[in-house]
This record gives sequence, C-alpha cells and structure tokens, in this order.
Amino acid sequence: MKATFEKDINPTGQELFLQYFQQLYPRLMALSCRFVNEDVAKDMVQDAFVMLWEQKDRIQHVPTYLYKSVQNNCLNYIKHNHVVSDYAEKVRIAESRIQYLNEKTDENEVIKQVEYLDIRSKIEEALNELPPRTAEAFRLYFFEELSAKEVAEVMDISHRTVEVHVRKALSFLRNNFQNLHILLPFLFHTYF
Amino acid sequence: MDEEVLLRFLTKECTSEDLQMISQWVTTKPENTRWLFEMEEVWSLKHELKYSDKEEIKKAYQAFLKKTEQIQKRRVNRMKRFRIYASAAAAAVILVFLSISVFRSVYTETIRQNLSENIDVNEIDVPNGQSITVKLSDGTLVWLNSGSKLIYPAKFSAKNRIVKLMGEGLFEVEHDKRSPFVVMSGSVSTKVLGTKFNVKAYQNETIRISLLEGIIEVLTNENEEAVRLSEPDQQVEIFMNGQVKKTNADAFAISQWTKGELYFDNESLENIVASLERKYNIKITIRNDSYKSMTFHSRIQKDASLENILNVLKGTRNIDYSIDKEGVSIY
Repeated sequence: MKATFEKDINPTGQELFLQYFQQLYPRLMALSCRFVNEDVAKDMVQDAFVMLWEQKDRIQHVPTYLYKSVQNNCLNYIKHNHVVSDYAEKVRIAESRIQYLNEKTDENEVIKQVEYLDIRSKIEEALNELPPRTAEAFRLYFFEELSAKEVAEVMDISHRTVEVHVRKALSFLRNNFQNLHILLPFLFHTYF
Repeated sequence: MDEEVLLRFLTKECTSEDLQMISQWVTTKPENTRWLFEMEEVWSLKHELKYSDKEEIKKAYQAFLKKTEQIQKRRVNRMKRFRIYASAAAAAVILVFLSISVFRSVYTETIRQNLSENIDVNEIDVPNGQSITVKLSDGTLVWLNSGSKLIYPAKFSAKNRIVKLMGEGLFEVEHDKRSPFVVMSGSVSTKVLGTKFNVKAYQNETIRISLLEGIIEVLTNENEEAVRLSEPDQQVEIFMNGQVKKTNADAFAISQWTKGELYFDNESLENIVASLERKYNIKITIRNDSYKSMTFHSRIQKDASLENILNVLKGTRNIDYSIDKEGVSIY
C-alpha cells in the first residue's frame, strides 16, 4: 500500500494521517524510549506528529521527517535539562546515539520492502535456538519485566548468571536480526 | 563492558560512574559504541512491542487529535479577535472600560453568593511529599502539588464553576462557554474559558499564573482591570506588595511538576527551599540570611534525589549543606 500526501490522491487528509500514525507510532516510540523515559517519550512523539500535521504539504518523505523530528525533540529535551547530574555525559551519549543512527541509515540504502513484522513471534523463534535456561531468563527479564534479582529467585540461580544469560540472548538476537534485516531504521522508500 | 552496566544502561538505571564510563566509551571506541547501540536496538523491540498494541495507538491518536483541535481553536480565536479590533476601535475601547467595571461587580457578587450557598462542598488537602490528580464533576482535571488545598463543589452549578485553591495546581479545564470556570486564590481570581494553565499560590509567596493553552483572565482585588492572557507562555505575577506584572515564562517547564520535575525560573533560594520542603517533606533551614535572595535558574529531572539537587545548588554558588535527623541546613 502506497500512500503519500500528494493532492491528487484521495483518501482524506485525516485518514491518511491515521494510517501514518498506526504504522509508525510503535517504531517511533521505540526510538524515543532509547533517549528518554516513557512518559517524556510519548510527548516527543506527539510533538513530532503535530509538527508533521502543521507542515504536511511541505513534507516529501514522511517516515524520514518523523524519525528525524523525534531524534531532535529528544536531544533538545536532554539539552534543556541544564542542571542535572551528569548532564554533559547524558548529552554526549544522546549525540553519539544519533550519530550511530544516522550512519546506519546511510548503509542501508537499498532495502527491499519489509513485510509486517510480528515482533513477538520473531523473538520467540530466535529464542528457541538458544539453550532453554538462557531463553527462560531472557523471557522473564524482557517480556515479564522482572528485575535481575527476581529472575534469579525464580530460576534459583545467581544474579550474575541472570545477567550473563540476558547478555548472551541479546547478542544472539542482534546477530540473528541483522541477518533478517529486522533491526532497521525505517527510512527505506518503499516502507508503505 | 560488564553485564551489570549493560543492563543498567538498557533499563535506564545507570549510576554516575556508569554514565562517565559510557560517555568516555562512546567518544573513544567506535566499534564498542556500535555494539552498545545495537544491543540497545534489540532492547528497544520491547517498546515497539508495547506500543504496537491497538489500545496504545488508539490512546495516542486521540491525544494527537485533541492537540491539533486545540491548535486550530487557538487560530480561529486569533482570527476572530483580529476582526473585532479591526472594525470598531474607538467604540470598542469605551465599551470595554464600561463592561469591565460592570463585569467586575457582577462577577465578585456572583462569587460571593456561590460560596455561601449551601451546596455539597469537597475539600482536598495534599500533604507535603505528595501530589494528586482530581477530576471535577464537569470533567476538568486538576493536578495538585505538595502542600496544596482545593475546595470545590461536588457538582457545579449551571451558571459558573468556582473552586478555591491554596498552593499549586495545574488545571485542564473543560470548555463550556456558558459556565466560566473560576479559580480563587486568596484575593486573586482566575477566570477560564476552556484551557490549560498553572496556578502557583502558596501563602507568603509571589503568586504566579502561567498559561499553557487557551485564554484566561486574572482579577485581583487591587486591580481595576482583569489581566488577560491569551498566548501560551504568558504569565501573571502578583507580588506580596500587591504589584501585578505580566511576564513571559516557559509554561510547559513550569507545569512539569506534574511529572515530578522541578523548574526554577530565576527563583530565590528562599522559594526553592520552600518547594523542596514541600516535595520531600523535610525541614530545610538557611542559616545565612544573605543567601535567601540568591537566585537559581534550573530544570531538574524527576529522578533527582534531594541530595542531587542540593549538590547542584552547591556547585552553582558557593553554598554548603548538611543533613541530620532534624533536617537540612544550608550555610
């Protein structure tokens, strides 16, 4: 399904917006939550959509615009928090992340259309290839959101072992997903 | 990198040492940086999953629609006002003066009447160290900060909606043209037409009313005319000596106490201490009198502890502090 803001295409402006919102909101929230806490992240994403709405006739490529807006909103938010502990470090990390994200985009220039992802089942598929204890620890920590201490209690292992399991699972997922082009900023032109 | 640190990074629970280390890392070791952010990327699937939920998207979309509606309303109001000014300037000026004095006497009478009528009245007292949100019978939302009190009728009358506030509240008022919403704080009344604004009116402190969205009119017993705020970030300050001043401020930052943040806009140490006492429910004494009027400008995240904040103050100006079981001393 291809949708743009060109005037000769005719779903109404509002329907179009709803489509963009539905498709891009999860990814934008994932992006935003990397920078700031969830409550603030929601505001950052809302602001980006409002800015899009205000400029809609002038935007060529909507996903790119939203993605960059969210990045900028987050960075500005962090920069605005002037007197907070480790302010300089927080800014540096945020800027470094943006640099990383921009570099990654440049690499993935020609990407084939990505099918709708069922994130949960893709993760589960990958987890099945891990040793069961590792997968279990990861599930509890990631999906159930138990703390490392709680996972240790449930599985009757040490805190440290939990951390090692989680790290192992994360590494595995990262390698796995890179091959399947799952972890990508969604800046490819045929996203819709 | 140690697993512990990695997980703290992913769950945003880094210590100061963690942050220092990571910050150094990202500026000196590109391959490791990549690794870290790739791990973060896998981790971010968690949020992508959470916000793929249809209910979440629906909620967010509704919030978005509301925002854009408000922006459009503001634009329409601006246009309407422009047309009125453009058509009958001189006549309008006379009318405005007349109507303000009429408005004022009718207004104060109505308020006096309403509060003495025997209606079911609720009172909420928010102790130090806490904050709460209330939803009034008309759908208006009020966030109340520590050390605040709100008095309001269980059910609003059809003619007007009057509440009394001592302390600090952020109001998101349901639009109702026929029934103006009025916030009374001592001798100051803020009249509202459907909007979002912050009222800071603690005893013995300057009163500050900041507009986020919409239009409000602020009336004091001393003033002949109401002060009208119609642009976001406009603010009215009413000093202890009765002086009224219209200024500008970052209303969004001011309202973020509802999210646990603190914002000091060239605020005196005396007032900052009052805010900290309320928020952390602890006694703070300034031992050196000359410090009371020192000013600070800062915005502090919600996760900051009292000590973090005191350290920040200490670092900004040459002051020191100590904490014991009696409370905090600044000297």
